[in-house]
Amino acid sequence: MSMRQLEQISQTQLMMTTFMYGFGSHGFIVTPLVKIGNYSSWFIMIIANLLAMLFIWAGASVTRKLPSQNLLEDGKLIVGKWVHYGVLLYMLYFFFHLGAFILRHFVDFLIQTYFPTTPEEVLLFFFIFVVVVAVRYGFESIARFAQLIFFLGVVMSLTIPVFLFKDIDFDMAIAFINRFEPLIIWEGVMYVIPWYADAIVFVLIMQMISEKAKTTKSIFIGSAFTTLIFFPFIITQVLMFGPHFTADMTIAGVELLRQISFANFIENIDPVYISLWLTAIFVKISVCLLVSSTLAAKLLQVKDYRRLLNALGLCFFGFSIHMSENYSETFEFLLEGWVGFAWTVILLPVLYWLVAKIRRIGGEKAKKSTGV
Amino acid sequence: MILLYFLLCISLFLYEWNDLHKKNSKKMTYVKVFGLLTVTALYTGWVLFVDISFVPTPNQILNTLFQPVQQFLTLRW
Repeated sequence: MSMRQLEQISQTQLMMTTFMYGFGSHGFIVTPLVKIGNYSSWFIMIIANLLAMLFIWAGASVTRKLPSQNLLEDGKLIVGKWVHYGVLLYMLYFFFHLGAFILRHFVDFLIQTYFPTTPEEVLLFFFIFVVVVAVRYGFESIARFAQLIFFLGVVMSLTIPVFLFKDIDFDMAIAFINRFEPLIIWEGVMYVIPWYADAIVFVLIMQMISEKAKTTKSIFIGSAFTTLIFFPFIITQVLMFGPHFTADMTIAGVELLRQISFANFIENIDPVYISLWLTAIFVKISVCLLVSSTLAAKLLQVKDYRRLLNALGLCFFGFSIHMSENYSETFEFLLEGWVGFAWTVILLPVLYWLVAKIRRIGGEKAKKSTGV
Repeated sequence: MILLYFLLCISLFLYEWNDLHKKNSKKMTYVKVFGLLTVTALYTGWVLFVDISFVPTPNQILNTLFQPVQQFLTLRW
């Protein structure tokens, strides 16, 4: 094994990568979240964040109990070889689809808003080209990039409510604390949990992370930063447009950014924020492709995932074109289908955890059985 | 565009051949890598240049499969 394959990221880098990973997809869920949750969206987001961490904890906990602390390698000790390979194949499809889905959704948005005359294939190709190069350089490069953008991302996102402060209708603010309907909160929480729990992706590549015992904590802090950013953003959104108008927009956040007119020299500032979001999308897609390649390499028993990366990158290009006929179909799937699909995946590590508990696999017993 | 795609595929095949050759890879690795590359090149070519509107898209299939799951979980059945 070469030195390049042994590179591991630190827990701080993991925390920042988790933030960027969540930031990449959360921009898309403002509309569905407000549509479901109305004034209780902020509460739904916090509850969903906390509950989603239970799935991460289950995944990280079961992985740490394995002899090599690698779920891909030793997951077969828990559920058996063929079931494990079936699970890996399903997860490969899920994360490959997730990356392509986020990319397609973002490119559709870019074409509608900023590049109306550019063919979709061109944007997809160049974006994927950059992602493939980043993934070829390994997880550390992606994490370093996330580390580089992290503070800028946090600071810039927190400036949005400040810029819009004077336009906000505070009369509505009382509704944020006196409107809680259990059924709505349940629906919203069930919708949002997978958007946090998809950070389970990091559990699958725990061999690339140092100080594994702190993994859950780092992922939790990273996701809490995502909530911290989106919490004021959603409240500002609802106070500016009201819950019903927000729920009718496709990407509500962009409309909010367009309202920023702080001074004569800070008009049309939305491309700046969108380019920041683009970097988060880049991190999200890179992590998804990295994990897909790692899973494919494991299933095909190829030592280095980089050997399969070009093939998967090419497939990623085709798949992101093929996955939807148009923007409305992508949006419909975001609203009505993806969450059901994601729940079937985020429950898998919990299943491993339960089976390991029932069969009392882990720790000393596993070490003895594998002779470690 | 077909020519550009053809050139892209050729360059990917040459790149992989060179990469595997430099690392003295086993024959089986050549088979796996080129097998996967051929399949994905054919798939992407099919998506790009053939009218596939009669085939349901992956999202349509997933929507049919998982919409009931989502409705069940969110208590909207």
